[in-house]
Amino acid sequence: MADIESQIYIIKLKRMEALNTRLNDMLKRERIPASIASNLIVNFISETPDYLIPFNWTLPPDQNKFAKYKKLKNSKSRNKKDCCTIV
Amino acid sequence: MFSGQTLSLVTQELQQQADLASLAKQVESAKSKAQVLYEEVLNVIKRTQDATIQSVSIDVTPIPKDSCQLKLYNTLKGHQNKVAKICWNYDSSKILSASQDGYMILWDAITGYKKQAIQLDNPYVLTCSMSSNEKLVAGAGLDNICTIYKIKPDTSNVPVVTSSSINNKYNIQMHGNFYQSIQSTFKGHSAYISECEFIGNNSIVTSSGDMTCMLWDITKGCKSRDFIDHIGDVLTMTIFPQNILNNNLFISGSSDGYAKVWDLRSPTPTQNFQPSSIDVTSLKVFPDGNAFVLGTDDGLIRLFDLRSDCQLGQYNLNQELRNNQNIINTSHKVLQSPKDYRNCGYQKQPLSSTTEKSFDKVSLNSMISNFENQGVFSLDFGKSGRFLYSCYSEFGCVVWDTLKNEIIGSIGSDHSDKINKVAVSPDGIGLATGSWDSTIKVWSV
Repeated sequence: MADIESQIYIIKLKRMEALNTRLNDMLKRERIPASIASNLIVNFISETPDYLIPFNWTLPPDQNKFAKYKKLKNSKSRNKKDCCTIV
Repeated sequence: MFSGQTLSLVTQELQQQADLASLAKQVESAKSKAQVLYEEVLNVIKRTQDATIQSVSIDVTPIPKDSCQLKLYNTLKGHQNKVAKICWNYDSSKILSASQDGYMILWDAITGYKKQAIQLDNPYVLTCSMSSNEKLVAGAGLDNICTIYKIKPDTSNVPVVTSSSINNKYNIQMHGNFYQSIQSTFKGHSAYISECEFIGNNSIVTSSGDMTCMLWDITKGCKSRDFIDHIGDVLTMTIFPQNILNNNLFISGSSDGYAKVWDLRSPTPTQNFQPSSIDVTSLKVFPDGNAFVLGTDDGLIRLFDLRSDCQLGQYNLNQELRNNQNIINTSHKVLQSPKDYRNCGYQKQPLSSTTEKSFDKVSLNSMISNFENQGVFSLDFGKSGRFLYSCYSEFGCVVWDTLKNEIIGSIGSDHSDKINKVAVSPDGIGLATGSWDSTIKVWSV
């Protein structure tokens, strides 16, 4: 009986020691202040083109593959109308 | 008088008791040490947290509300059940979707045509992923197995639309027309697989309800590593944007309230974040790979930075709704139409026939007051990270300004049921929304 109890204690102790090393590692971790991290994020955002924000960035029309395909499809269907005549 | 034997027994017992007492003492001292260390860690984090993203970006030009109206280019129809997951390929031309109808479909995002349909072994699919060379796709879900399928090489540049696939749209005997070739099946999880993601072309990471994540080697066809540290179901997992610094990292979120950052080379997490004890339902890494957002089951989204190891901001839908009357006034757009809400059964309070017809301000406000539990279904950043697209369980897809902490607008009101997935294309030009109405919509400027 005492054996099991001591084993339980030993396991508990090992777990606690593992937790403590992890907490120590967390303490040792190098951290930069949140203000600097936030500034880095703001810089990244302002430097990266994001065409889904038309207010800040305009996508050159020749790069808009969706609009280009739509245009092509529309012009094709219009052409079809032109050549098909019902008598 | 004691005999010698009894005496030795007694001393032995006494010795054992003394050992136990000393062990108990050691445990206690370790416990108190842990407490001290924990307090210290909290203090350090508090000291690092000298600003929020909102306070730092006060000089940044705000983006006007409703300036993110995107055009709908394609509605991808073909699935016959809820869309479980959508993902873009690397050159942003195709979308892979998995649905609970038992198929994965590969779509041409630009034309809207289907390129391939992959019949799944298990229809209860929760997630899918595509390798970067587009030769393999993976599906996983409630069968606890992650299955890797080979896909046919795309030999033609013209969109594939065969007459047979159209004819077979409503025909159940369609199996013969679909290509299925299983590369490997990975068995090892003892509960459902919530997420899977390819890392490169030869490995895949899975997260599961058995509280673990696993790394699998596709070439060898076996498991490479377990990642065990969570104490609840791992509900979500995402890999970091692939570049030289982060291509070994992934992050997992669990019902124990923790988000853990893992390195594929280490069995223990490299960083832990526990904002609350509420289920972490959604995660997305910021495009530069140094921060991430975390969505919880109570509808809060938090921004964390890995370099400063602390929270930088918080996005609260309910608070923003309360503070901002404009959003409430225009919320019929966000809320989709009341009819749709009634149809899909997530209107908690029955609407009377009069309110259904005239969706007036009073009923809108009363509806909003019911939205107390706003679980976050899905999160994605735009290319720059300025916009954060987030799908709420009962509020559609909302666009947040990451810097200003404001709602800019919403996307996807055309869907007739809940939107459960949002994904921005890698080139940042397209956006896809997947819905329970079984369709996927592709949006762009």
